[in-house]
Amino acid sequence: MSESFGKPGNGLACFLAFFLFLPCHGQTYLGFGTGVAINKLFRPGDNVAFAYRTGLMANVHVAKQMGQRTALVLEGGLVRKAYGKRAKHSPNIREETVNDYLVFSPALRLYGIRHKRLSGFAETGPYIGYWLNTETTGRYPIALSVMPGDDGRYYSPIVEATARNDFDKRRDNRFDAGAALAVGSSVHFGRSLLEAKIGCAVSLIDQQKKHMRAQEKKTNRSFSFGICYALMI
Amino acid sequence: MTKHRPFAFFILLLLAGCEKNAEMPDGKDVAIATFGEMFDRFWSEMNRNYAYWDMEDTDWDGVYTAFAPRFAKLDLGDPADRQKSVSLFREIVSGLRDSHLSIGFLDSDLRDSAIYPAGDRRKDGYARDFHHLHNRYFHADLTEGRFLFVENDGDKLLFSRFGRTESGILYFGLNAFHVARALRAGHGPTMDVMDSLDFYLGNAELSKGLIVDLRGNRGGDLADLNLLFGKLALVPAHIGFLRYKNGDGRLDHTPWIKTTLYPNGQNTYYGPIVVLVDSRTASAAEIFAMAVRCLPNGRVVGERTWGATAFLSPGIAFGYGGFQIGGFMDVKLSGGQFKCIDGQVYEGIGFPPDVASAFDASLYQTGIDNQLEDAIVFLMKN
Repeated sequence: MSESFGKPGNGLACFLAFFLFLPCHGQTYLGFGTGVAINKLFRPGDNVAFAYRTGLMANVHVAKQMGQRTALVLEGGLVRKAYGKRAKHSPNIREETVNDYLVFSPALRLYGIRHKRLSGFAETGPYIGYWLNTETTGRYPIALSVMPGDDGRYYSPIVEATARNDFDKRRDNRFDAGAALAVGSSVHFGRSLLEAKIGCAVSLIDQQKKHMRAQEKKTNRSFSFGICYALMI
Repeated sequence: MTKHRPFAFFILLLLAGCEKNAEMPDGKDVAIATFGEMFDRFWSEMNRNYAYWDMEDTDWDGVYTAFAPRFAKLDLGDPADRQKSVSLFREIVSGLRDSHLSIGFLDSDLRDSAIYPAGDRRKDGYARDFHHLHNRYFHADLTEGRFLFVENDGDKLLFSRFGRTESGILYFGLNAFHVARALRAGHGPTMDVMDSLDFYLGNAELSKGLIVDLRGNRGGDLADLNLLFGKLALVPAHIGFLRYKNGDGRLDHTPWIKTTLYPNGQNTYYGPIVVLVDSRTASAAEIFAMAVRCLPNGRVVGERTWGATAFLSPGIAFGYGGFQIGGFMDVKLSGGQFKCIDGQVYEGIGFPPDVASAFDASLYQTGIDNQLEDAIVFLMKN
């Protein structure tokens, strides 16, 4: 996937327009949510071990009831997709990376159980993310600064370094996109509601541009837990 | 059922996104039956381990397209074809920047067919011998050490020399970075050389400057960098940045990591220092010159260096670097990239001196070392 995927902005605008001008059969809720995303990067074959890391997320939430059991939900906000990476031969050499994405995710929601104020739901839809920023903190050996140890052998000191990894237009894909699925429940209090949901999201496009032959896809996989407070408008 | 179709569709998408996190087989363990497989493995291992793809002009995908059919025609069992494969491998790597890149062949018929592209690109003959003229200039307190750092191999000889002019200019020369090894082995003459150096560095008022002669020095043990630089620095010196491969992607690198060398804690030397380099000064010796250039009292005199500014540390950091294939070939690669404090990566191009001084062979034949004299003049003027 190349930067030409960067047309999704147009698609998103069309979707928003469609969403806002839907015939108003039911209530519309506007609110905000927050939570954590537990993310990991995957790429088969890499000579490193990837690990899940936690990052915060915050979003604006709009939900429009379409019928008794369906609603369209649009969430937009910041998601910090972090991941860990370590050398397979040494636990002391590792990297922690945080990637901040601006994410929009429209979803179709189906309500299942409804009991007085409480209702359960499941939702699914695509998501699209715009990569804003990344920072890496790592512990690396300094190969040139070799010093004798107490045992008489020589070692490279392992130092901690933090660096902002600049966007490399030859390598990095600015956009992330994939599919998301979540289940949750909401509690209604008059004109407001409180929701909690857990979900997962799988990126379907490579985090890197296609820059070489036989390139393996590098993708994000996330689990999330979020809560949301919304008001009927 | 109809209203659940969107869910079914996205669940299918999620499942499609789940893939087995397969392990890539290690090149050493893979049995190679044909030259086609050999080339495939070589291309892939270079693709994932080579540290300089971001700076290369070589179209590595194009290499695959061009050479895969040529290797496919070769027969691994035919000695003539095995010899032909050496030429093909040489052609493939000839333009690559990494000056530590070399290919040795483990096959008994090809043992003498090593490939060293950085050496092939040099047309200025063999390394020069600077080992006898220094006596003419530095006859006071002259000490020399000759240490065989690999037993029973006459080519693996460390020459260390210390001397002084009557006017008080110190001279310290090394043909390789294996001092720590010699000291660890308790080699007396090398210890004498280092003791002389330490004495004068500890009594800076007795000297007018120091020349560290690294002409022809091909580098060696990284342990010597801190050992020798530590004798000259008064405070920790930030000399540049390192970065390593950290993924299989051609452009996967760690961020640039600040690299510091440290003083040994006993140094009090504040006089001017000149590192004398030539076009054969390589690897750790080049990095040493770049490091001394970071000191307020350090300068570099001579020629642009060789341009092997990184290091051979197989598997350091995330395990990327040199590799072997099927008991046939052994490929050595830089373990990462080094960027000088001035922001330049000098791999493949060499570090330029502050004061250019080209080697003059005709003068050398008459007993005059013009580069050494330029270094002395520079110190006398400064």
